[in-house]
Amino acid sequence: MKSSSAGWGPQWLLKMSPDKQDTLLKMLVLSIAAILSFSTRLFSVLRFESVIHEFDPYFNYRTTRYLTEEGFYSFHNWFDDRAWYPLGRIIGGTIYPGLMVTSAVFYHALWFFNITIDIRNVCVFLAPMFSSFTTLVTYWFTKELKDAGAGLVAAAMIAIVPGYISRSVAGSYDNEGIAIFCMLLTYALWIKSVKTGSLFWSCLCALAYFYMVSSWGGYVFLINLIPLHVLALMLTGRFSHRIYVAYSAVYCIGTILSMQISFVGFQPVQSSEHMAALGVFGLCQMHAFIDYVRSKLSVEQFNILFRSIVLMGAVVSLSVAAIGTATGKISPWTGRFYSLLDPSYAKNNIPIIASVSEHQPTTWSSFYFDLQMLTIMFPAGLYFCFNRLTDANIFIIMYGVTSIYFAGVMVRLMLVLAPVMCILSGIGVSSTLNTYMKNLDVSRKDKKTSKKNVDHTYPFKNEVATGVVFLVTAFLITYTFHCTWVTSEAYSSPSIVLSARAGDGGRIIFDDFREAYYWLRHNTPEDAKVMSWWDYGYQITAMANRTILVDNNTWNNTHISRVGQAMASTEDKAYEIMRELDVNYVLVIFGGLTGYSSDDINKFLWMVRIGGSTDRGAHIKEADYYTPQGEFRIDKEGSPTLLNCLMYKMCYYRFGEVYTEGGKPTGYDRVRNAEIGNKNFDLDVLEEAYTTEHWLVRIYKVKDLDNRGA
Amino acid sequence: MSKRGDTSAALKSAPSENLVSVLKKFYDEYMTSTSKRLKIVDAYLVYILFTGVIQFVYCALVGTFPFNSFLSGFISTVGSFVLAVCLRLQLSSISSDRVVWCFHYRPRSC
Repeated sequence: MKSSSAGWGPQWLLKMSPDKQDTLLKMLVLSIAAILSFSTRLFSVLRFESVIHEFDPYFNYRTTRYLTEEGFYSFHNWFDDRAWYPLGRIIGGTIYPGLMVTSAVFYHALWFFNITIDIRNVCVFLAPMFSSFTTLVTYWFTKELKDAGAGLVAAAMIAIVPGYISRSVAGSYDNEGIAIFCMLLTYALWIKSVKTGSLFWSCLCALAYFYMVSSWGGYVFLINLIPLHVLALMLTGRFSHRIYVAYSAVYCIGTILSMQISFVGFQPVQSSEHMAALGVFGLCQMHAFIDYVRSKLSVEQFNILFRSIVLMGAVVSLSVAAIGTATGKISPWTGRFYSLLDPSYAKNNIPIIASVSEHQPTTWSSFYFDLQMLTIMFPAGLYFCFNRLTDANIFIIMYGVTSIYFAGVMVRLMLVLAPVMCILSGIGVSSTLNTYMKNLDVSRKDKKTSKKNVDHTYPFKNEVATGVVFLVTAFLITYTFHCTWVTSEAYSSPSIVLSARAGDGGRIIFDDFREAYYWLRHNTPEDAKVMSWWDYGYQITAMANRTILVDNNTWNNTHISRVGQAMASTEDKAYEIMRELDVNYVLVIFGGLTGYSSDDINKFLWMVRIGGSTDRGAHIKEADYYTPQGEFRIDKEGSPTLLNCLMYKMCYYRFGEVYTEGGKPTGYDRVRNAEIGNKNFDLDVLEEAYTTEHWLVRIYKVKDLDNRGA
Repeated sequence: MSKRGDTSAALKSAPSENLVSVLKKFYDEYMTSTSKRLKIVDAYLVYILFTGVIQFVYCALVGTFPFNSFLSGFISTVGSFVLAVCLRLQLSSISSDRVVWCFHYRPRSC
């Protein structure tokens, strides 16, 4: 076989059998896709530095650091008294530990081999690495659904799809980075167990489900989609003992394992979100039993038995459900998930959920921005799935349809839609190319003899096929360009470091946030308490290492409302609240000098709404902060309540003396594009402690009580 | 429904076709047609069912504290029951004397 002395050349490649060529090609494509998915997420590391982005990842980073330093036992029992002063937070019982444990495992494994990578770098690069794994799992998943060709296309698509990149870029150290991998792994193992009906694959699926539960709160989607799939199979008459084995094993083992996570606790047997799985489990047992009985009896006898059992069963289950819901044993749907079914619920009732920008409904432009070509190829993939309906295809159809609905309700859930879009588009593209490439006529010389089985459905088969292949190739190429452009421009900003172009073309870096946090860390006492809006809580605890009042966990609405009241009241009222909460320093973000538009004045109306939503804040009414015409203005026409509240004074203290733009008066706010109304005032109860270089972060110290009283 | 009504009326005239007789017929059929191996597995299933029911009734009477214990005991009975049923399916598909149970079996390429 190896007789040729030419060695490693093209002859070696061509001498291989078609099977080996096939395998080599697949491995090549897959490794290129995996490497590509890792490298396309590194834009921000190359442009700035290896730093953790945004807000939530800082909390995950802090907990991971704690885990690697203190060990798992301390981590699991951690009570944090440096957040939510004076309440504290039970961190061990209120997080999903999968992400931290994964990072710690990698960290210890690397250190075991004396590869001393700092924990921060492990955290920054964890998400891109898991995206490579996701690419491989997507290939396997689509191969189970259709064939290897579709798998390769789907893997290549998911490597660069912007909807997934947005939450898994290097530095975005958040639950979703590993959760998508766990979700696809669970689904792939579920499909495998449905196809084979073996206990081995079902148990593996349950273990993958446990990993998924430990990593993200979105596991509720899985525990509802899998029973829905089983229900659909029952209704279409495809229930068999394979499905019974697969679902029963996955449900029993998966439920026990999911209750091992402290945050999940007893929810799988008590909350409404998990009741569908329990119901379908019961239905599975009954269906299997009925099939067994039916095989033993004749038709009429079976009908008599069946009718009486159904009557009894319906009465019993309805009464149990009614009693359970009425007595409160089965808790109703929580706010976060209820707002998925009724999108207007959060807007009307829970301002905190409504204020997060990620929870807004998705626009059409977002769909195109995040998915481009996939939105068009997705229906084609659905069609091909319906064409050849199997148990596994029904699952992917349901997954696709439900994800489309949820992605339409909440922008954040676009992440859940991206993988299924890639899978179905992969199926669509691969099937289209399969159909048309059969018609390609490669033999150019021999035109006189036609093929034996030519069919005359339409003329010019060869030309049409070539045209279609070119078209699909062009689509895929534009998809690549679009995805890379989107990743580079939109999803690679660290948010903690900003950059802009100066007038002369040079780059200015705004590192104000870290400057302020490190000032706090080095210039304030260890037990100082800092009040700020909840967005910045995680960053302050992670980088400044000081106690804070409220942070991004937003678990206590009343406490946040108290902070909102302090920000929205006059100085004297706010001083009472700040003395009550033992506040030493106050931190605000101000973008008026630089034109940074996500500052606290733009968020101020949310502070007013949340502050006014509890009893003690009933005197704060949103209408007071608008002009009589109903506008929100900060200039002379602005409402006096607004111009005298604490947030206004903190942001614009001494700003009235500053020139910001040529040709404009002093105190010109570059975000609101107006000259401020209340200049030249003094602060009574605060004194300015620190303002960063570009005035982005302003820190004030709360004055102590007077020495001699009133 | 009317046609079935005729046949069931015709059958109802024969006093043997009511719920109790159906159950008895089912029991006879079961006793004669299942192999010894399957009967042992079925006895085990009934035993596990009893332990599960007893635990549930106890919990309903006495209260759920400590909930951990109740859950672990109950779920282990449910899990053992399910695994034994999976074993039974495997056995009955191997023993090909009565393949009728598998009439819903669909090969995996479907």
